Amino acid sequence: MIRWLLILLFGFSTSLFSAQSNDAKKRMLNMVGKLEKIPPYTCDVKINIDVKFIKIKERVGKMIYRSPDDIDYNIKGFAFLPKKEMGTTSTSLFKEDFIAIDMGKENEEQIIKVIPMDINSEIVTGQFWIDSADLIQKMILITKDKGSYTAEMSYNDTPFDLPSKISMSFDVKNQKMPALLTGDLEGYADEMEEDEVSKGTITITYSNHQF
Amino acid sequence: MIRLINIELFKIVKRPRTYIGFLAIFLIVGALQLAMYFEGEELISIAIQNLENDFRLEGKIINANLLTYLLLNSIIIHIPILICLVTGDAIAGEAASGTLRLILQRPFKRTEIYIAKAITGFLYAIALMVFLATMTYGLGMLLFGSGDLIVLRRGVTVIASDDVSWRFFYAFCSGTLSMIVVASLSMMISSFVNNAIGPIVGTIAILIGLNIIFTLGAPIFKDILPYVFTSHFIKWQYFFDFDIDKLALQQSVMVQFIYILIFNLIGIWNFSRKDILT
Repeated sequence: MIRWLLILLFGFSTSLFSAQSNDAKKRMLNMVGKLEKIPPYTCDVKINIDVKFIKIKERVGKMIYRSPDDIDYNIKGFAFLPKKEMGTTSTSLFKEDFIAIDMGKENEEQIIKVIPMDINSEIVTGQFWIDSADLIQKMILITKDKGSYTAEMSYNDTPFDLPSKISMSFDVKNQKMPALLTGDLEGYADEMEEDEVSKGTITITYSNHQF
Repeated sequence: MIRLINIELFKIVKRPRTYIGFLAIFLIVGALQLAMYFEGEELISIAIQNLENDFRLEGKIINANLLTYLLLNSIIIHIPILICLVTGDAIAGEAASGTLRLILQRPFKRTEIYIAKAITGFLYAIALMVFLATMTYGLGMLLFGSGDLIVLRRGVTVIASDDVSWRFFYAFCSGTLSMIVVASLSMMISSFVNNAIGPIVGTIAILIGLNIIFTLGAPIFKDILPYVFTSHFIKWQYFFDFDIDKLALQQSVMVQFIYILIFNLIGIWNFSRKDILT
Protein backbone atom coordinates (compact mmCIF):
# COMPACT_ATOMS: atom_id res chain seq x y z
CA MET A 1 0.00 0.00 0.00
CA ILE A 2 2.79 2.42 1.04
CA ARG A 3 4.75 1.48 -2.08
CA TRP A 4 1.76 2.38 -4.32
CA LEU A 5 1.32 5.63 -2.46
CA LEU A 6 4.99 6.56 -2.97
CA ILE A 7 4.82 5.74 -6.70
CA LEU A 8 1.70 7.90 -7.04
CA LEU A 9 3.27 10.78 -5.15
CA PHE A 10 6.47 10.60 -7.20
CA GLY A 11 4.52 10.50 -10.47
CA PHE A 12 2.38 13.49 -9.46
CA SER A 13 5.34 15.62 -8.33
CA THR A 14 7.36 14.81 -11.48
CA SER A 15 4.54 15.82 -13.78
CA LEU A 16 3.96 19.04 -11.80
CA PHE A 17 7.67 19.91 -11.78
CA SER A 18 7.96 19.15 -15.49
CA ALA A 19 4.99 21.40 -16.30
CA GLN A 20 6.43 24.30 -14.29
CA SER A 21 9.85 23.89 -15.95
CA ASN A 22 8.35 23.90 -19.42
CA ASP A 23 6.49 27.16 -18.82
CA ALA A 24 9.54 28.81 -17.32
CA LYS A 25 11.78 27.51 -20.09
CA LYS A 26 9.35 28.77 -22.72
CA ARG A 27 9.33 32.20 -21.12
CA MET A 28 13.13 32.30 -20.97
CA LEU A 29 13.47 31.19 -24.60
CA ASN A 30 10.99 33.87 -25.64
CA MET A 31 13.09 36.48 -23.91
CA VAL A 32 16.29 35.23 -25.54
CA GLY A 33 14.53 35.31 -28.90
CA LYS A 34 13.53 38.90 -28.23
CA LEU A 35 17.13 39.77 -27.35
CA GLU A 36 18.43 38.17 -30.54
CA LYS A 37 15.98 40.17 -32.67
CA ILE A 38 17.43 43.50 -31.52
CA PRO A 39 18.95 45.19 -34.58
CA PRO A 40 22.42 46.77 -34.44
CA TYR A 41 22.40 50.15 -32.76
CA THR A 42 24.56 52.81 -31.17
CA CYS A 43 23.85 54.75 -28.02
CA ASP A 44 25.49 57.13 -25.57
CA VAL A 45 26.74 55.60 -22.35
CA LYS A 46 27.71 56.96 -18.96
CA ILE A 47 29.82 54.64 -16.87
CA ASN A 48 30.18 54.94 -13.12
CA ILE A 49 32.29 52.57 -11.12
CA ASP A 50 32.14 51.86 -7.43
CA VAL A 51 35.00 49.57 -6.43
CA LYS A 52 36.84 49.91 -3.14
CA PHE A 53 40.30 50.30 -4.63
CA ILE A 54 39.46 52.11 -7.88
CA LYS A 55 39.05 55.86 -8.07
CA ILE A 56 37.73 57.08 -11.38
CA LYS A 57 35.28 59.78 -12.37
CA GLU A 58 32.26 59.15 -14.58
CA ARG A 59 33.19 58.18 -18.09
CA VAL A 60 31.11 58.99 -21.16
CA GLY A 61 31.19 57.53 -24.62
CA LYS A 62 29.34 55.49 -27.20
CA MET A 63 28.33 51.87 -27.28
CA ILE A 64 28.13 50.05 -30.59
CA TYR A 65 25.89 46.99 -30.43
CA ARG A 66 26.00 44.54 -33.32
CA SER A 67 24.90 41.32 -31.60
CA PRO A 68 24.88 40.05 -28.00
CA ASP A 69 28.40 38.72 -28.63
CA ASP A 70 29.69 41.78 -30.45
CA ILE A 71 29.53 44.95 -28.39
CA ASP A 72 32.13 47.71 -28.69
CA TYR A 73 32.68 50.82 -26.66
CA ASN A 74 34.14 54.10 -27.77
CA ILE A 75 34.94 55.82 -24.49
CA LYS A 76 36.58 59.20 -24.05
CA GLY A 77 39.70 58.31 -22.09
CA PHE A 78 40.16 55.21 -20.05
CA ALA A 79 37.37 53.12 -18.56
CA PHE A 80 36.76 49.95 -16.61
CA LEU A 81 34.02 47.78 -18.02
CA PRO A 82 32.60 44.51 -16.81
CA LYS A 83 34.72 41.60 -17.94
CA LYS A 84 31.76 40.15 -19.80
CA GLU A 85 28.61 41.90 -20.83
CA MET A 86 25.66 40.57 -18.91
CA GLY A 87 23.82 40.17 -22.20
CA THR A 88 26.62 38.09 -23.65
CA THR A 89 26.97 36.01 -20.51
CA SER A 90 23.27 35.39 -20.14
CA THR A 91 22.70 34.49 -23.79
CA SER A 92 25.60 32.04 -23.63
CA LEU A 93 23.69 30.40 -20.79
CA PHE A 94 20.84 29.64 -23.18
CA LYS A 95 22.93 28.44 -26.12
CA GLU A 96 23.06 24.90 -24.78
CA ASP A 97 20.23 22.93 -23.26
CA PHE A 98 19.13 24.09 -19.82
CA ILE A 99 16.59 23.49 -17.11
CA ALA A 100 14.35 26.36 -16.06
CA ILE A 101 12.57 26.20 -12.72
CA ASP A 102 9.82 28.52 -11.65
CA MET A 103 10.77 29.68 -8.15
CA GLY A 104 7.58 31.59 -7.49
CA LYS A 105 6.96 35.31 -7.27
CA GLU A 106 8.57 38.22 -5.47
CA ASN A 107 7.02 41.71 -5.69
CA GLU A 108 4.93 40.68 -8.71
CA GLU A 109 8.05 39.47 -10.49
CA GLN A 110 8.41 35.86 -11.52
CA ILE A 111 11.66 34.26 -10.41
CA ILE A 112 13.10 31.69 -12.78
CA LYS A 113 16.17 29.67 -11.97
CA VAL A 114 18.17 28.42 -14.94
CA ILE A 115 20.65 25.56 -14.73
CA PRO A 116 22.70 24.62 -17.78
CA MET A 117 22.76 20.94 -18.69
CA ASP A 118 26.41 21.11 -19.74
CA ILE A 119 28.53 20.20 -16.72
CA ASN A 120 31.46 22.20 -18.17
CA SER A 121 29.45 25.39 -18.54
CA GLU A 122 31.19 28.47 -17.10
CA ILE A 123 27.89 29.59 -15.58
CA VAL A 124 26.79 27.19 -12.88
CA THR A 125 23.36 28.68 -12.38
CA GLY A 126 21.38 31.83 -13.09
CA GLN A 127 18.32 33.37 -11.52
CA PHE A 128 16.10 35.89 -13.27
CA TRP A 129 13.44 38.23 -11.93
CA ILE A 130 10.95 38.92 -14.71
CA ASP A 131 8.09 41.40 -14.49
CA SER A 132 4.64 41.20 -16.06
CA ALA A 133 5.85 43.07 -19.17
CA ASP A 134 8.42 40.30 -19.78
CA LEU A 135 11.32 42.54 -18.79
CA ILE A 136 14.23 41.20 -16.78
CA GLN A 137 14.45 43.38 -13.69
CA LYS A 138 17.26 41.55 -12.01
CA MET A 139 19.52 38.59 -12.60
CA ILE A 140 22.15 36.74 -10.66
CA LEU A 141 24.68 34.53 -12.37
CA ILE A 142 26.93 32.18 -10.43
CA THR A 143 30.06 31.27 -12.34
CA LYS A 144 32.55 28.50 -11.83
CA ASP A 145 35.67 30.62 -11.37
CA LYS A 146 34.71 34.30 -11.23
CA GLY A 147 32.24 34.36 -8.37
CA SER A 148 28.78 35.79 -8.77
CA TYR A 149 27.42 38.60 -10.93
CA THR A 150 24.28 40.52 -10.10
CA ALA A 151 22.63 42.89 -12.54
CA GLU A 152 19.72 45.19 -11.92
CA MET A 153 18.01 46.87 -14.83
CA SER A 154 15.87 49.97 -15.24
CA TYR A 155 13.74 50.70 -18.30
CA ASN A 156 12.24 53.84 -19.79
CA ASP A 157 10.37 52.96 -22.96
CA THR A 158 13.45 52.45 -25.15
CA PRO A 159 12.53 50.51 -28.32
CA PHE A 160 13.04 46.74 -28.22
CA ASP A 161 12.71 46.88 -24.43
CA LEU A 162 16.33 47.83 -23.99
CA PRO A 163 17.33 48.85 -20.48
CA SER A 164 18.14 52.49 -19.80
CA LYS A 165 20.40 51.59 -16.91
CA ILE A 166 22.22 48.46 -15.80
CA SER A 167 23.90 48.18 -12.46
CA MET A 168 26.28 45.25 -12.27
CA SER A 169 27.74 43.97 -9.02
CA PHE A 170 30.44 41.36 -8.90
CA ASP A 171 33.26 40.06 -6.75
CA VAL A 172 36.61 41.79 -7.10
CA LYS A 173 39.88 40.91 -5.50
CA ASN A 174 41.98 43.60 -3.89
CA GLN A 175 44.70 44.55 -6.35
CA LYS A 176 47.98 44.59 -4.45
CA MET A 177 50.74 45.46 -6.84
CA PRO A 178 54.48 45.25 -6.29
CA ALA A 179 55.88 48.52 -4.95
CA LEU A 180 58.74 48.31 -7.44
CA LEU A 181 56.23 48.62 -10.25
CA THR A 182 54.03 51.22 -8.64
CA GLY A 183 56.61 53.29 -6.79
CA ASP A 184 54.34 53.21 -3.74
CA LEU A 185 56.95 52.73 -1.05
CA GLU A 186 54.88 54.02 1.82
CA GLY A 187 53.59 50.64 2.93
CA TYR A 188 50.00 50.50 1.93
CA ALA A 189 49.81 46.86 3.03
CA ASP A 190 48.43 47.95 6.41
CA GLU A 191 45.26 49.35 4.88
CA MET A 192 43.99 46.45 2.81
CA GLU A 193 44.48 42.73 2.95
CA GLU A 194 45.88 41.11 -0.14
CA ASP A 195 43.36 38.95 -2.01
CA GLU A 196 40.55 40.44 0.06
CA VAL A 197 37.36 40.01 -1.96
CA SER A 198 34.88 42.85 -2.02
CA LYS A 199 31.83 43.76 -4.08
CA GLY A 200 32.29 46.08 -7.00
CA THR A 201 29.56 47.82 -8.95
CA ILE A 202 29.60 49.22 -12.46
CA THR A 203 26.59 51.28 -13.46
CA ILE A 204 26.03 51.97 -17.13
CA THR A 205 23.38 54.45 -18.22
CA TYR A 206 22.24 54.20 -21.84
CA SER A 207 20.60 57.00 -23.83
CA ASN A 208 20.15 58.33 -27.35
CA HIS A 209 19.67 54.96 -29.05
CA GLN A 210 20.06 55.02 -32.82
CA PHE A 211 19.04 51.88 -34.71
CA MET B 1 77.07 87.52 -4.82
CA ILE B 2 75.78 87.42 -8.39
CA ARG B 3 79.36 87.64 -9.61
CA LEU B 4 80.27 84.68 -7.42
CA ILE B 5 77.30 82.70 -8.70
CA ASN B 6 78.29 83.51 -12.28
CA ILE B 7 81.80 82.27 -11.59
CA GLU B 8 80.48 79.05 -10.06
CA LEU B 9 78.11 78.58 -12.99
CA PHE B 10 81.00 79.09 -15.38
CA LYS B 11 82.95 76.38 -13.54
CA ILE B 12 80.02 73.99 -13.69
CA VAL B 13 79.48 74.62 -17.39
CA LYS B 14 83.14 74.00 -18.13
CA ARG B 15 83.30 70.77 -16.15
CA PRO B 16 82.64 67.67 -18.31
CA ARG B 17 81.03 65.76 -15.41
CA THR B 18 78.19 68.31 -15.44
CA TYR B 19 76.94 66.76 -18.65
CA ILE B 20 77.03 63.21 -17.32
CA GLY B 21 73.73 63.89 -15.57
CA PHE B 22 72.03 65.19 -18.69
CA LEU B 23 73.46 62.36 -20.79
CA ALA B 24 72.35 59.77 -18.22
CA ILE B 25 68.82 61.20 -18.13
CA PHE B 26 68.74 61.26 -21.92
CA LEU B 27 69.79 57.60 -22.05
CA ILE B 28 67.53 56.44 -19.18
CA VAL B 29 64.47 58.23 -20.56
CA GLY B 30 65.24 57.24 -24.15
CA ALA B 31 65.85 53.58 -23.25
CA LEU B 32 62.72 53.33 -21.09
CA GLN B 33 60.49 55.01 -23.63
CA LEU B 34 61.79 52.86 -26.47
CA ALA B 35 61.37 49.74 -24.33
CA MET B 36 57.80 50.82 -23.56
CA TYR B 37 57.19 51.55 -27.24
CA PHE B 38 58.13 48.02 -28.27
CA GLU B 39 57.34 45.93 -25.17
CA GLY B 40 55.16 48.29 -23.14
CA GLU B 41 51.88 46.41 -23.50
CA GLU B 42 53.42 43.22 -22.10
CA LEU B 43 55.22 45.04 -19.28
CA ILE B 44 52.09 46.90 -18.24
CA SER B 45 49.93 43.80 -18.47
CA ILE B 46 52.16 42.21 -15.81
CA ALA B 47 51.37 45.10 -13.47
CA ILE B 48 47.65 45.09 -14.19
CA GLN B 49 47.23 41.34 -14.57
CA ASN B 50 44.85 41.14 -11.63
CA LEU B 51 42.78 44.03 -12.90
CA GLU B 52 42.41 42.36 -16.28
CA ASN B 53 40.98 39.29 -14.56
CA ASP B 54 38.05 41.28 -13.21
CA PHE B 55 37.59 44.06 -15.75
CA ARG B 56 37.65 44.78 -19.40
CA LEU B 57 40.00 47.76 -19.75
CA GLU B 58 39.00 50.25 -22.44
CA GLY B 59 41.43 52.88 -23.65
CA LYS B 60 45.13 53.52 -24.06
CA ILE B 61 47.11 52.79 -20.89
CA ILE B 62 50.59 53.64 -22.13
CA ASN B 63 50.91 57.33 -22.86
CA ALA B 64 53.16 60.30 -22.12
CA ASN B 65 51.49 60.90 -18.76
CA LEU B 66 52.06 57.35 -17.49
CA LEU B 67 55.70 57.39 -18.62
CA THR B 68 56.32 60.75 -16.99
CA TYR B 69 54.81 59.41 -13.78
CA LEU B 70 56.93 56.24 -13.91
CA LEU B 71 60.10 58.18 -14.64
CA LEU B 72 59.44 60.61 -11.81
CA ASN B 73 60.09 57.65 -9.52
CA SER B 74 63.73 57.90 -10.57
CA ILE B 75 64.14 60.86 -8.21
CA ILE B 76 64.29 58.38 -5.35
CA ILE B 77 67.77 57.08 -6.27
CA HIS B 78 68.91 57.80 -9.83
CA ILE B 79 68.64 61.58 -10.04
CA PRO B 80 70.20 62.12 -6.57
CA ILE B 81 73.27 60.18 -7.75
CA LEU B 82 73.58 62.45 -10.77
CA ILE B 83 73.21 65.56 -8.62
CA CYS B 84 75.88 64.35 -6.16
CA LEU B 85 78.36 64.00 -9.00
CA VAL B 86 78.38 67.78 -9.38
CA THR B 87 77.43 69.18 -5.98
CA GLY B 88 79.63 66.74 -4.05
CA ASP B 89 82.58 67.97 -6.04
CA ALA B 90 81.87 71.66 -5.44
CA ILE B 91 84.10 72.17 -2.40
CA ALA B 92 85.95 68.87 -1.92
CA GLY B 93 86.96 68.80 -5.60
CA GLU B 94 88.48 72.26 -5.32
CA ALA B 95 90.17 71.31 -2.05
CA ALA B 96 91.69 68.25 -3.75
CA SER B 97 92.92 70.19 -6.75
CA GLY B 98 94.22 73.05 -4.59
CA THR B 99 92.06 75.77 -6.14
CA LEU B 100 90.15 76.25 -2.89
CA ARG B 101 93.10 78.12 -1.39
CA LEU B 102 93.09 80.47 -4.38
CA ILE B 103 89.38 81.16 -4.07
CA LEU B 104 89.54 81.83 -0.37
CA GLN B 105 92.30 84.38 -0.91
CA ARG B 106 89.82 86.49 -2.88
CA PRO B 107 88.07 89.34 -1.01
CA PHE B 108 84.85 87.42 -0.44
CA LYS B 109 83.48 86.05 2.78
CA ARG B 110 83.57 82.29 3.06
CA THR B 111 79.83 82.32 3.76
CA GLU B 112 79.25 84.12 0.46
CA ILE B 113 81.40 81.63 -1.41
CA TYR B 114 79.55 78.71 0.17
CA ILE B 115 76.15 80.23 -0.58
CA ALA B 116 77.17 80.92 -4.19
CA LYS B 117 78.29 77.31 -4.56
CA ALA B 118 75.08 76.08 -2.93
CA ILE B 119 72.88 78.25 -5.18
CA THR B 120 74.79 76.98 -8.21
CA GLY B 121 74.23 73.41 -7.01
CA PHE B 122 70.52 74.13 -6.60
CA LEU B 123 70.36 75.59 -10.10
CA TYR B 124 72.02 72.45 -11.42
CA ALA B 125 69.46 70.28 -9.60
CA ILE B 126 66.63 72.41 -11.03
CA ALA B 127 68.15 72.17 -14.52
CA LEU B 128 68.31 68.37 -14.26
CA MET B 129 64.69 68.17 -13.15
CA VAL B 130 63.55 70.50 -15.95
CA PHE B 131 65.49 68.37 -18.42
CA LEU B 132 63.92 65.20 -16.98
CA ALA B 133 60.44 66.71 -17.29
CA THR B 134 61.02 67.96 -20.82
CA MET B 135 62.55 64.69 -21.98
CA THR B 136 59.93 62.40 -20.45
CA TYR B 137 56.94 64.45 -21.46
CA GLY B 138 58.29 65.64 -24.83
CA LEU B 139 59.51 62.25 -26.02
CA GLY B 140 56.46 60.57 -24.49
CA MET B 141 54.09 62.85 -26.41
CA LEU B 142 56.03 62.19 -29.60
CA LEU B 143 55.98 58.41 -29.22
CA PHE B 144 52.71 57.74 -27.40
CA GLY B 145 50.60 60.89 -27.29
CA SER B 146 48.47 62.00 -24.36
CA GLY B 147 45.83 60.03 -22.46
CA ASP B 148 44.31 59.37 -19.06
CA LEU B 149 46.83 58.63 -16.35
CA ILE B 150 46.51 55.38 -14.42
CA VAL B 151 48.20 55.59 -11.06
CA LEU B 152 48.75 52.26 -9.32
CA ARG B 153 49.17 53.71 -5.85
CA ARG B 154 46.90 52.80 -2.96
CA GLY B 155 44.71 50.93 -5.38
CA VAL B 156 44.06 52.34 -8.82
CA THR B 157 43.40 56.00 -9.58
CA VAL B 158 42.48 57.13 -13.08
CA ILE B 159 43.06 60.82 -13.74
CA ALA B 160 41.64 62.42 -16.88
CA SER B 161 44.22 63.71 -19.36
CA ASP B 162 42.95 67.29 -18.95
CA ASP B 163 43.47 67.09 -15.19
CA VAL B 164 47.10 66.00 -15.06
CA SER B 165 49.15 69.04 -16.16
CA TRP B 166 48.87 70.95 -12.89
CA ARG B 167 49.52 67.77 -10.93
CA PHE B 168 52.73 67.16 -12.86
CA PHE B 169 53.78 70.78 -12.38
CA TYR B 170 53.45 70.52 -8.60
CA ALA B 171 54.93 67.00 -8.59
CA PHE B 172 58.04 68.24 -10.40
CA CYS B 173 58.25 71.21 -8.01
CA SER B 174 58.04 68.81 -5.05
CA GLY B 175 60.64 66.54 -6.65
CA THR B 176 62.92 69.51 -7.30
CA LEU B 177 62.69 70.51 -3.64
CA SER B 178 63.77 66.98 -2.69
CA MET B 179 66.70 67.21 -5.08
CA ILE B 180 67.73 70.50 -3.47
CA VAL B 181 67.83 68.64 -0.15
CA VAL B 182 70.19 66.11 -1.80
CA ALA B 183 72.33 68.93 -3.20
CA SER B 184 72.49 70.56 0.26
CA LEU B 185 73.47 67.26 1.89
CA SER B 186 76.27 66.56 -0.57
CA MET B 187 77.49 70.18 -0.32
CA MET B 188 77.61 69.84 3.44
CA ILE B 189 79.59 66.57 3.26
CA SER B 190 81.77 68.17 0.60
CA SER B 191 82.76 70.89 3.07
CA PHE B 192 84.07 68.26 5.49
CA VAL B 193 86.41 66.34 3.21
CA ASN B 194 89.23 67.05 0.82
CA ASN B 195 88.55 64.50 -1.90
CA ALA B 196 85.64 64.52 -4.32
CA ILE B 197 84.81 60.84 -4.03
CA GLY B 198 83.88 61.09 -0.34
CA PRO B 199 80.84 63.40 -0.67
CA ILE B 200 79.53 61.58 -3.73
CA VAL B 201 79.80 58.09 -2.22
CA GLY B 202 78.83 59.38 1.23
CA THR B 203 75.61 61.03 0.01
CA ILE B 204 74.63 58.04 -2.13
CA ALA B 205 75.33 55.67 0.78
CA ILE B 206 73.16 57.78 3.11
CA LEU B 207 70.31 57.92 0.58
CA ILE B 208 70.38 54.23 -0.25
CA GLY B 209 70.79 53.25 3.40
CA LEU B 210 67.87 55.39 4.55
CA ASN B 211 65.70 54.20 1.67
CA ILE B 212 66.38 50.54 2.45
CA ILE B 213 65.93 50.91 6.20
CA PHE B 214 62.72 52.87 5.95
CA THR B 215 61.22 50.87 3.09
CA LEU B 216 61.83 47.48 4.66
CA GLY B 217 61.34 48.59 8.23
CA ALA B 218 58.53 51.08 7.72
CA PRO B 219 56.30 49.59 10.47
CA ILE B 220 59.13 49.79 13.03
CA PHE B 221 60.19 53.34 12.17
CA LYS B 222 56.77 54.74 11.31
CA ASP B 223 56.93 57.34 14.10
CA ILE B 224 60.17 58.89 12.94
CA LEU B 225 59.53 58.37 9.24
CA PRO B 226 57.88 61.79 8.71
CA TYR B 227 61.07 63.46 9.95
CA VAL B 228 63.48 61.59 7.70
CA PHE B 229 64.15 63.52 4.53
CA THR B 230 64.28 60.50 2.20
CA SER B 231 60.68 59.65 3.08
CA HIS B 232 59.67 62.96 1.46
CA PHE B 233 61.23 62.06 -1.90
CA ILE B 234 58.01 60.28 -2.87
CA LYS B 235 55.60 62.88 -1.54
CA TRP B 236 55.08 64.19 -5.10
CA GLN B 237 52.92 61.10 -5.58
CA TYR B 238 50.33 62.73 -3.30
CA PHE B 239 49.49 65.16 -6.10
CA PHE B 240 48.01 62.22 -7.98
CA ASP B 241 45.44 61.36 -5.32
CA PHE B 242 41.77 62.25 -5.79
CA ASP B 243 41.66 63.90 -2.39
CA ILE B 244 44.99 65.60 -1.99
CA ASP B 245 46.33 65.54 1.56
CA LYS B 246 47.33 69.20 1.70
CA LEU B 247 48.46 69.01 5.31
CA ALA B 248 50.89 66.16 4.58
CA LEU B 249 52.28 68.10 1.62
CA GLN B 250 52.68 71.29 3.64
CA GLN B 251 54.49 69.33 6.36
CA SER B 252 56.66 67.70 3.72
CA VAL B 253 57.67 71.07 2.25
CA MET B 254 58.38 72.39 5.73
CA VAL B 255 60.50 69.38 6.76
CA GLN B 256 62.50 69.58 3.54
CA PHE B 257 63.08 73.32 3.93
CA ILE B 258 64.31 72.71 7.48
CA TYR B 259 66.72 70.05 6.19
CA ILE B 260 67.98 72.42 3.48
CA LEU B 261 68.53 75.07 6.13
CA ILE B 262 70.26 72.69 8.57
CA PHE B 263 72.54 71.13 5.95
CA ASN B 264 73.56 74.52 4.61
CA LEU B 265 74.09 76.05 8.06
CA ILE B 266 76.32 73.12 9.05
CA GLY B 267 78.10 73.43 5.72
CA ILE B 268 78.64 77.18 6.14
CA TRP B 269 79.77 76.73 9.74
CA ASN B 270 82.28 74.06 8.78
CA PHE B 271 83.43 75.83 5.62
CA SER B 272 84.02 79.04 7.57
CA ARG B 273 86.46 77.30 9.91
CA LYS B 274 87.94 74.95 7.32
CA ASP B 275 91.71 74.68 7.52
CA ILE B 276 93.24 75.41 4.12
CA LEU B 277 96.80 75.82 5.27
CA THR B 278 97.68 72.19 5.93
